[in-house]
Amino acid sequence: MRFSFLQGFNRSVEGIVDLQGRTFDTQNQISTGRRILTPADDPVASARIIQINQEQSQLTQFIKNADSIENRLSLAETQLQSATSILTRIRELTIRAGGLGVTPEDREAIAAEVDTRLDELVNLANTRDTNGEYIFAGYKGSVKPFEQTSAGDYIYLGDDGQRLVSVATSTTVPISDSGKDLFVDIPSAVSTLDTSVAQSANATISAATITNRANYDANANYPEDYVIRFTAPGTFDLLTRTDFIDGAPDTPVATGMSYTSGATIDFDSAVPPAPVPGLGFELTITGAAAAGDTFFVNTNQTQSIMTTLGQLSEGLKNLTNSPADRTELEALLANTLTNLDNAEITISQAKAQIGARQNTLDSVRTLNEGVELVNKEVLSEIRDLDYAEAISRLSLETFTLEAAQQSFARISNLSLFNFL
Amino acid sequence: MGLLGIGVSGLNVSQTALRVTGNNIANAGSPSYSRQRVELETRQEQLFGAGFLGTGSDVADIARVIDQFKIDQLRRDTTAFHALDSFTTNIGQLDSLLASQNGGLSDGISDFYSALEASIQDPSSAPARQVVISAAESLAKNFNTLYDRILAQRSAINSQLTSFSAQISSLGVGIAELNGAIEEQLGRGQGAEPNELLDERDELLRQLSELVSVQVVPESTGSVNVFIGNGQTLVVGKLANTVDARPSPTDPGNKDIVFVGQGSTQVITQFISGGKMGGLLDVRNSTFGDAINDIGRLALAFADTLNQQNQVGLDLEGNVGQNIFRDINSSLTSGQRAIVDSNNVNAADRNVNVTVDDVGALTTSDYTLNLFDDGAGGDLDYRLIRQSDNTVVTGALTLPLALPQTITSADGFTITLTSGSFQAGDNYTIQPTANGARDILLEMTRPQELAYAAPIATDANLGNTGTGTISAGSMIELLNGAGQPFATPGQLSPPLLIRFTSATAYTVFDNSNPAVPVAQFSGTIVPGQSNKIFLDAPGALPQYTGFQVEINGAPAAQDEFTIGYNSNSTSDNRNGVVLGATRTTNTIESGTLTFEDAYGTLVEEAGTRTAQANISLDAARSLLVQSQQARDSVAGVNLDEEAANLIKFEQAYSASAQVISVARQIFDTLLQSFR
Repeated sequence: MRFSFLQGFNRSVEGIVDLQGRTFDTQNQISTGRRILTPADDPVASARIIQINQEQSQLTQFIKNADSIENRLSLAETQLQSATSILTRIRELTIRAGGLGVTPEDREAIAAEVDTRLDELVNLANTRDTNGEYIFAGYKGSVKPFEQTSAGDYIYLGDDGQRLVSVATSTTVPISDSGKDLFVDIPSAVSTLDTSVAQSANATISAATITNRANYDANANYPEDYVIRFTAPGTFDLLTRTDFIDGAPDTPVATGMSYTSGATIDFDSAVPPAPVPGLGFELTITGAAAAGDTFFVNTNQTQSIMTTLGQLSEGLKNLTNSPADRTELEALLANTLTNLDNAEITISQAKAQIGARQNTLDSVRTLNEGVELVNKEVLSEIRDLDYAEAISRLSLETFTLEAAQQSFARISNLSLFNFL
Repeated sequence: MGLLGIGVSGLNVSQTALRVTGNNIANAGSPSYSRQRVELETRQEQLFGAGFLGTGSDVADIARVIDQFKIDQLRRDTTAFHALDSFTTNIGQLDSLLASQNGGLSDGISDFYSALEASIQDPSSAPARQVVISAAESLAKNFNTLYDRILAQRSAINSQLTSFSAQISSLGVGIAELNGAIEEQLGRGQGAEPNELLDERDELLRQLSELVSVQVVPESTGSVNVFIGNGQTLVVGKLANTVDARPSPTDPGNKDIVFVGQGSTQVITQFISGGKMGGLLDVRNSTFGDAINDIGRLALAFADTLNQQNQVGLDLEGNVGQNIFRDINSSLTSGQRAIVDSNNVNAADRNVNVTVDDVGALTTSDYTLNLFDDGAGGDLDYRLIRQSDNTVVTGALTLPLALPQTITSADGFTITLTSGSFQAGDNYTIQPTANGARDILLEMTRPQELAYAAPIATDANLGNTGTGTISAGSMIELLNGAGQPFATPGQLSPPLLIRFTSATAYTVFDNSNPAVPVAQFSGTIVPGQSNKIFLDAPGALPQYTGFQVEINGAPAAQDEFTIGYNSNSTSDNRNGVVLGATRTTNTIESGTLTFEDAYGTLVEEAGTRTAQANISLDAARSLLVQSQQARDSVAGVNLDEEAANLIKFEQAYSASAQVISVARQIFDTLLQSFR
């Protein structure tokens, strides 16, 4: 082929420029350590890199989550451990109080310690974390969960909520337990009664006391809840809750009952004008109840630890050594021990759950860290440069480039004009 | 006398040849120069007694050494190379923009979700919430910046189109003038070709083919006619037309290429191919629109998904959540999604709103809404065409004339013809997604407003004797219209009571007044399984409440569960967990892609196109180099060859001079003999 002056220059220069471009690309790769400089270098790998980076950032967050959950769980665990010690101490005190030679003064002293321990337990149940959140209040972390009422009892103001946190793509771990589950919802030795106002402008209802447990337990309606509904000012019916709510015509347990504000209403014996079958409990309604006022009396198989301890302290302070009180005391101590057992079981179950969560966290974290490592490797494999290969490529390219430049310099000197 | 004449003719021929050689050497470095060669011819012989005697030689022609086929080939390859070159340059910029660590979105999305995850596991922490707000703001800014930068590239393309149009026009004028000059010189030269003018015209044609694909048709007069597009005559003989870049009537953000002929104009954008201009149009039509729509759709989906989810939660202050980002259908944005074709009659009076109803159903295409009249029914008719595949998405032969009228499309948006003189023949470009990335804006300023809590709280009655439990509940939507569960802020209306009448049957009560519970509906469960109490699919109250709870385990008769408002819920993170889960939920493209997947797909597509273009560009470059070399190999000057010619003609010149000298000696000898 005929070869023109320009063609020779163009071809050589183009070759050199091309080589230069490739050499600079390689140099750029080496200086960044990346095989892929723009997505066009490897589109599929680039999309994969985005995906892996997404996974990585998620995993990093999961691992961080696991760390902070760990702290939270340890805090709860420590507090529950302390609660268990308190319960153990109360158990010792309860057993000691049942001893033969124990005088009312001794019991008074024991009661004083029970009160202290109760305060301690309430403090534990009202634990706040470093952010000031109550850790046993369910979702209501800003509300102090256990408050003492004017009657001296403790009520739970939190809720049932349990917070969940993701620690892996498909794994969430509960990081809180509600005070209700831990301290309130404890099976009790004997059933108890809760009272509440469903509707009343002026009247209030006291706590219900079981005065005749045999009658109460033997009643045909047990464990039905009761409803007190006023049909006229001062006059009320007693219904079962099923009867109250079923929408069918009511067949009250007792009708036309009356009360005196602040006086005990005895639901065990006949209350004028209507006799009541022996229900075994009594309560007090205070204030003027109007027609339509409604109160609930609910049977309850559970009792909070605070109530158990409060009752124990109350009994220890007030019961004498008279035979009747002695019997009552023994029943109280026996029930208390059962309740303490139940409380310990509940708390140790909670601790076991916390332990299980910590195990889950550990295994998930190990798994996450494993995946993180694998991802890093994959990422490095598809994105990072093989230096050995790149450097040998660079030396080959620079060698070729130098050769091209030198040969061009020599060839371009060749001209017939040099010899004219 | 004859010998002297022969010698002189030899001198003339050699001198001309030396001048041509000198000219070749002088122009050796000029790329458009075609080497010239002296065509010699022998003078006619004369009959001289015994036979015919030669009378010397003449210059017949000074001709360019060219191969027209190779020149045409070079022009075609130039067009192909420059199309790919401008395509690659522009798409490469987009490619790096999408993937860059600073302008790219993937880090922004990632940062946002990391902040969110950290915050929802500690929902009452104000600093953690503030980080989420800041991350959301910087993500929104990322979207805006990316939009601006893509748009800046698009407007750079538009201004290049303008300048290329001007260049094409002026090259056309240049070629037309050369046509005139060449015709004239051919006439004067009586057939001899004006070599330099021809070279110059070839060069202008080559420059023109860098800009756009051209067809060159030579005329017998020596002129060439030049056609662009699908047969528009840029140059006919001595006459040149022009091309111009003007704002497109269907999308003023884009420039159309317009052919301005004698008294007529014609849009030829769709016919332009090849050259830098064709490459630019390719990039603009295929990639830039796609990228802007892709990112817009991502922004819409992201903003809407998080807004919707935040709206079904409760914030730190116990209020129902608000939008995190600006509502995607705010009056400000929904009015800007339709472009009224400026060719419509009285175009300025139309108001068209486009609202996005379902971000999952959105495509990345633009749409054309065409109004027409089939003559029946005294109404208008319409069709909505998806531009990506030219499919009619929806259309009907009845569109009442009364305004406003709505047109609902299955592609996730609704068009409302609000006001104006809508009439048959109208066209509208509908861009549901194009402005998405521009319009995303953080609206939430107070970190407390992130709604991490769920609005409902469930509780099991302490007196329950069974082992049944109630789930914490989940939200489907927040019904807050009149008479609906969340109509009154701060409470659930009504609070509900679920009471079991047996181990399997339950009744749900309105428990607003516990003294007068009102039964709402009853149902049964299967003990030991997870039993949904309400409907999941939208329906009527009371079975559909917009939330859902499940009863698990084995409740006993008379067991009760309550559902109430989640007041004081500062530690609740249920809705936050769902907010966080939007990261891994397949939201986009009919529920097949997560946000980050969608972005990854976009990067991959741009990368693939760039990679393909790079490969094609390499191929086109080597083709161009080959055809350039093929042309140079024929038409280029070889200095060694010219050196040899120089020697050859110099010697020929000396020899001819010698002939003259001999002729003189002969003549002298003859004169001497008469002395």
